[in-house]
Amino acid sequence: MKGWDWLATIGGWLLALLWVLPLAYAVWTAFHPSAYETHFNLLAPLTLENFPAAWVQAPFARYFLNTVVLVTVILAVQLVLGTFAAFAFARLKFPGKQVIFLLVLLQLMVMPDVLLVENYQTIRILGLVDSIVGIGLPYMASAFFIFLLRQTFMTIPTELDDAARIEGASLLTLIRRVYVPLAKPTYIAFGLISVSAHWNNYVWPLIITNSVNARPLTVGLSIFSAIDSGVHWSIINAATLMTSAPLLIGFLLFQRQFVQSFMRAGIK
Amino acid sequence: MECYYPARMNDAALPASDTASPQGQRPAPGISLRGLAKTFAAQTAVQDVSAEIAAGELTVLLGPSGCGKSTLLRMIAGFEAPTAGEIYLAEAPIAALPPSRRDIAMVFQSYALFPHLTVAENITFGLSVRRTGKAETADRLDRVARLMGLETLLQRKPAQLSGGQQQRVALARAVISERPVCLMDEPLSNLDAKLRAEMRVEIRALQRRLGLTMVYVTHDQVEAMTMADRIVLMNAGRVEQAGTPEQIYAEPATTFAARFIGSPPMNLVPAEALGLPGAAVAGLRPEDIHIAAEGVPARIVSAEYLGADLLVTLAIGAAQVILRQPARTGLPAGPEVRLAWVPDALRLFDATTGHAIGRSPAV
Ligand SMILES: Nc1ncnc2c1ncn2[C@@H]1O[C@H](COP(=O)(O)OP(=O)(O)OP(=O)(O)O)[C@@H](O)[C@H]1O
Ligand SMILES: [Mg+2]
Repeated sequence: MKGWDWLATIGGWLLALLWVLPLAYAVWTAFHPSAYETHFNLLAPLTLENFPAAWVQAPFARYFLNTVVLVTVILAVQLVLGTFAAFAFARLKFPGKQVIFLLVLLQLMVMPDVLLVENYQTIRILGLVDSIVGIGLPYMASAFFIFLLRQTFMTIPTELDDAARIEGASLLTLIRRVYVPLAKPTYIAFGLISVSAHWNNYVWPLIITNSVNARPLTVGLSIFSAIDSGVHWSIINAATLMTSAPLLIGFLLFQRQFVQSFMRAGIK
Repeated sequence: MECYYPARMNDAALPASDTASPQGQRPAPGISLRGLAKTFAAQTAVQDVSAEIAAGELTVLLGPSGCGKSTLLRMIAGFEAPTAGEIYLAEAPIAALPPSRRDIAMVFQSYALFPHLTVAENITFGLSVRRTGKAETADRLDRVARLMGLETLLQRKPAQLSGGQQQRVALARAVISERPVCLMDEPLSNLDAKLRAEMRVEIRALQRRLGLTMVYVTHDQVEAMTMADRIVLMNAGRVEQAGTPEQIYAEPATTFAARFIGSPPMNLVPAEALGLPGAAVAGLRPEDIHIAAEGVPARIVSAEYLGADLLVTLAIGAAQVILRQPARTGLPAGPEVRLAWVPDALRLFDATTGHAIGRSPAV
């Protein structure tokens, strides 16, 4: 047993190393002149030059704005729609509830990539190709969130509903003042998942956008780093770090709260 | 708004007549239930319940688990729609009104405090939902907090309170609404025995002081006997008997009522075992039987010492009875004794229907 433990520890470290290697390489190149891209020397001079160089070579400011708007809009709509849907599935009685809930669950089982072509056609019919709304629309009703929040809502004792109702609270007041605050950990946990997923989403935005006006960071970065553009690795990696920095820093800052939220929301 | 609250609710239990209550301008209405029934998909929870809940009184809905007490209370509150029948509040039908429009407050079994709100926010939840002004809210909160002894706890969350304190907050939330009718569903069942006894007194004093019409659900007959002005005894969705605790104790309308009230309950034995004619069931309270020189022969089976009293179990042929006597009276040496009883105390019930015979049931 002892020997196995030892092997597992080594294996773990190896995997961790393998995982961190690309990031380490990116950091190395981003902070050194391009001459040191493949030439590792601990005494190599450090520089911040690569960041402004990357910033001016492509419309990163616009990409940033697009991504922030995209992520915010998706999250906001997901939260609002999800709250109402989850409450309805958890607490209201209406005909066809079971069937509709099953349809929502069905969405969980479909790989998003399968729908790329179908979604493109729908968005084109709606005239939303190359717009931020067009990128976000397919994700705005999140089955995962509806399911997760419904589970949370169902753990709230119905006596609280009664207590609020007898005081004269409307359904909307009940949701806003009782259900939402009590499900806060679920909102935070899902918010994190949603933001990181859509900050990093690549394939769908690549397909549905074709101009700087709508392109998010991921797509912008990939175009910027396409081989034939002839830029240096150090600059590409500076750009990569730059674009993923907000997410990384945000996560590091709120790490503790996030982990707690995940534990309380029951996601691991 | 001329209101008077002493500093603590339990330091002066004023008689109900001279209360200067916040409900002063709105005399508490009575409630009348007429032919109420509730059928759920699978079963009938309440059937044909008619009862009068008098204004300003504490009425206890008493009955064993599953007899429909909560369902009845929830119909009065408006959370369940009756399948049949009507509810009148001060002569006005209310069965069609939503809970918030019935002018009724409710205290729930598990208190139903909002865990994310402080004690103060919990108490004033209803006021803020109904958009009561800031100054008035603060004023009322202040008075109710003092009345309930919650002044120092207002900024805590419910999870930081003891069971008894949570119970007080739940009561405070009902009191601050200044609604003249208050419903309670087993409000003390989560407390330990000592606290329960204390809260019984407090709730009763509060009800008297504020002149509330209170409907109180419990399955504990001691709670019912000690608190109630009137008891509505329920069994299997029906009203078994309604009356004052004294009436139900002295004149049980059915063998069910005889067995449910009193501890130990009324002795029910075939009449012939006591040497009486007929096929009726005879009922005698334990304290009405005594060991005497002359009477029905019986044999002592066991005795239970309770300090002041002694509970003696005796066999009369195949039947068993329990008698209660002062412990210092002592027991005769042999197991063979003779029993006598207060003639007035004997109750007879029809052997098949279980209804009281001879006396008019007190309703
Ligand atoms: N929402 C419901 N759906 C179906 N059946 C119900 C519902 N509520 C209550 N019942 C049934 O109605 C009957 C009466 O229930 P109720 O809760 O009124 O009893 P109770 O007297 O309050 O009992 P307890 O003392 O255990 O609280 C029970 O048999 C119960 O199973
Ligand atoms: Mg109940």
